[in-house]
Amino acid sequence: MVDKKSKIFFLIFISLAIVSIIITYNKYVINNDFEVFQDEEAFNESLLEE
Amino acid sequence: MDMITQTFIELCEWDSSRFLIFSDNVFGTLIYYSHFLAMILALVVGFFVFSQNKKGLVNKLLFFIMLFFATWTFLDLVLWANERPDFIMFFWSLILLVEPLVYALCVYFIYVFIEKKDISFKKKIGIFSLLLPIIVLLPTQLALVSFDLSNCFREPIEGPIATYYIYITETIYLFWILLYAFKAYYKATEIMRKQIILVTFGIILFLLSFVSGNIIGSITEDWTLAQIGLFCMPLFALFLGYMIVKFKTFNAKLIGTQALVAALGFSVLGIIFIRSIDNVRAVAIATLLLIIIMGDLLIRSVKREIKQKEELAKLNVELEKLIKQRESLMHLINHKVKGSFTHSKYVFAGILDGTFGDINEEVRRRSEQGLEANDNGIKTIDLILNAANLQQGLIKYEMKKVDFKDVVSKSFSEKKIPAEKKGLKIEKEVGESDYTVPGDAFWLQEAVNNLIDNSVKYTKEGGIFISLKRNAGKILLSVRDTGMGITPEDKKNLFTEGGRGKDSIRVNVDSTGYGLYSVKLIIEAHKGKVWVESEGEGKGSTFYIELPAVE
Repeated sequence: MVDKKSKIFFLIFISLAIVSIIITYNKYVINNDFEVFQDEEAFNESLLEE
Repeated sequence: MDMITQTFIELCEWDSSRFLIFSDNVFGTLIYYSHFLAMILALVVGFFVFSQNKKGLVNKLLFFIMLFFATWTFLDLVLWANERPDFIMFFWSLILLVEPLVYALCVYFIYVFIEKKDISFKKKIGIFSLLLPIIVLLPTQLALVSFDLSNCFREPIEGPIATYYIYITETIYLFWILLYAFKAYYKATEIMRKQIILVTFGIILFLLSFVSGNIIGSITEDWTLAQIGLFCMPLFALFLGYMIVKFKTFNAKLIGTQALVAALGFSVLGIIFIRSIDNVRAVAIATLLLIIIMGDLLIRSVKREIKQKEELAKLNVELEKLIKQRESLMHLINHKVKGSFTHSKYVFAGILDGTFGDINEEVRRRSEQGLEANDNGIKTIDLILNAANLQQGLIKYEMKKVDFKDVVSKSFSEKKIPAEKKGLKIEKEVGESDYTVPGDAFWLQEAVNNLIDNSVKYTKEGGIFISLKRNAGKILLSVRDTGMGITPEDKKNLFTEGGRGKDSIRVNVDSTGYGLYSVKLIIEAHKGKVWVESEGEGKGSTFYIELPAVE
């Protein structure tokens, strides 16, 4: 049996994880809030080659 | 996403995924094969172990480990198949969280598995607090910096949390498991040591299945080859299965069969969809390994079962032989031994009543002793024969309404004389009530006689206190004595065939070990209960008989 203190700890732990996942989802999927690294020069060169 | 990024993505010509995990972006069917196989096996093992004991902490932990492992496998497959940068960023973040969580649960699992109890609150804080920085910093650039589109790479650029912290944490967890197992090994018993070795080996192998994929992939740049790591999962299932069979931790025979059938079914299904011959070869090798490993486990298990059945059949034949021998011995005791006792009883009685002429005082004294010894012998034989007949169900009870108060009073009067002769005080307390029970008066008398007789025999000084009460449709007889008492060890054997306390022979040389056994058989045949309470050696005992009253 898991004691009461541990249950509270796991509840806080799981809640934090869920909040973190929701924020991450919101940031990346809803708001598209991330930088895209693109090497434009290399990309243009490859297009020219084609 | 800005227009330039959109154009870049379009120029990369990635395939659009269906149901998150199906797309041509996944090169090689082996990736599906390894992921689905691991996922199915993990779920089969997890759910089976959990269903065996839903309340067991070890079972629950293994279930969560397998569930999160299956989640990890699914997320990994999404990353292989998906083309959307936002999804990749999100699912990659989830992997950063789930992977070390599986490690943390494994540390918790090994503690509970070895110690057979939950760990302290401090240890839980210690294990899971290592994950807090990952949880808190997951949405920040410390976890994932940006999405790499250069050269059509379809993966994020990782920050320090993903690049360093997670690997450091996982290494800590691995060493934690190893150090703890090492420490526990030296303190453990021989049987437990084997379990510790197996569970540690299995868990380490399982955890390495995560990292090996990344290591092999990074070194060889061959991410198809990197899938070998996931095939460690069936190996882990094998170790778990072996432990289950060997130590009866869970039920492995069934789990082994289920896992093998699921894995083989999926393997065959996987081969149908494979296009490249190299991949067919890889899948065939993996399937062959699986058949060898799991098949060996099952064959061993079946062999063991056949051996056990053969041994059982042999024992059954021996048992039947013993029962026949016992019946013949009972017949011999009943007719020959009891007959001899009865014959000598009449000889002693004849001497005493002067049938063979006048006798002097010494002969009278000796004859009286002989007659008493004869009576005891006959009583003992009757007791053993009765117990044997009761046990075999040869006694037919004539169930009538019996006043249990009369039964107790008759026994009390009979046993008062030998008790007082021994210098013991004997008292009876019967409350005003109706004590009618359904039963056979003769055999109930036999049971009460045996119970009181037992107390008289095992009490050297003090007394015997008999009480009869009626409470809520039940009649309770208690016989309390100030005798030698009963140890918890003796209590277990007391009502068994031939069972008696370790010091009983010292107090009562005529102890047969059948008196209380007969009481139990008679009372249980009357739908009643018999038990004993004692505070220990030298502290007396109280015997109870509980019978259902006639309403």
